[in-house]
Amino acid sequence: MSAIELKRSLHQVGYELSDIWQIFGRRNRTRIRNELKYELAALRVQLALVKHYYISQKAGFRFDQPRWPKGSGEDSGRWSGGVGTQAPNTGPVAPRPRGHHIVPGEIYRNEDLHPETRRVFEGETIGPLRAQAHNNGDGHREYNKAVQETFDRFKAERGIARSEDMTPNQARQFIDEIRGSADPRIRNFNMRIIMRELRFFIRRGRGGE
Amino acid sequence: MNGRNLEDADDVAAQELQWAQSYAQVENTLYRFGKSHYLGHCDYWVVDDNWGCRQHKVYVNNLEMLSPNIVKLLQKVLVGFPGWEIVVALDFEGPAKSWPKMGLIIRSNEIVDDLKRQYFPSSYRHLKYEGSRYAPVFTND
Repeated sequence: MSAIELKRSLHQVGYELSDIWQIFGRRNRTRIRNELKYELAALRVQLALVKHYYISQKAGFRFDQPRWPKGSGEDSGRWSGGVGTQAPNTGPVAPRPRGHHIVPGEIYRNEDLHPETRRVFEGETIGPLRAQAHNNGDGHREYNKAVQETFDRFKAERGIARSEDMTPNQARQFIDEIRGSADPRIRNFNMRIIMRELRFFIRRGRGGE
Repeated sequence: MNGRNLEDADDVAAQELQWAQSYAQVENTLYRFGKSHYLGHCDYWVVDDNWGCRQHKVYVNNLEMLSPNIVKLLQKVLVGFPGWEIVVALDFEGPAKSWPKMGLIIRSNEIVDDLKRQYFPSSYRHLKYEGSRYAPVFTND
């Protein structure tokens, strides 16, 4: 084989290698794109579940509300008693001491708040919880830290120099901000609790059918 | 399981009452040995949300709070609350922040020891608890 032929062959091999790399590159991009699509889909499902949970809570819907048993005529399977009778969770009407408080008590308990504002904080929980147990690593303290930072920033942005100047409406705004927070310390902690609850009720629903 | 579902209204009421009583006793016990801070700036913090299970959660920020006599006193608190447990989780700032999750589960009849002593300063590696057993598997989700 002459040197020219050898050179030509080497060039040919080079082109083929380049083609192969391009194919690999395309496949890799496709794989990454697919993975991103799956992740996005999973996040959409999570978001939908969280929205559902949030709306359900606001509407006074209770996950654990009993249903009419089979053989109850037209009512079979329907929610029994109380749907919508629980006060909508828009204010301090019915403080619910059990559950995970959106705003940890230590953040506001020692503040000189208006009683109505205090009731807003006291009453806003994720819960009552049915499926939770503590373990070594649930990140509650990191959550506290993140909420405290958000609280300080919230007050600063609105020029709330003294805690007693915070209105109940502002307290609700703050709680909404925490519920929708993108801070991973807040979002992940709340999401974990909500997902555990949802899994619990899905499992229970399946078991009970 | 202490985190089991409590749906009966009487169970819920009993749990709420017991939670409040035991919380006060846990807090009173720890208060004698250290200072509480919810952001971890002091020695410990007892979670003051009642999640509905028969548990308390204590975050410890100072290894002194793991001393066997304090743990024994916490265990004594539980004698009056059958079925309850205290989860003690270590939670540090600084270089120790990178330690793996670890802690103790204190029950009236046993202590489940999930401390990873190899990370501790040598003076704390000897910690031993009467009536304890090592945790076979501990899920940290």
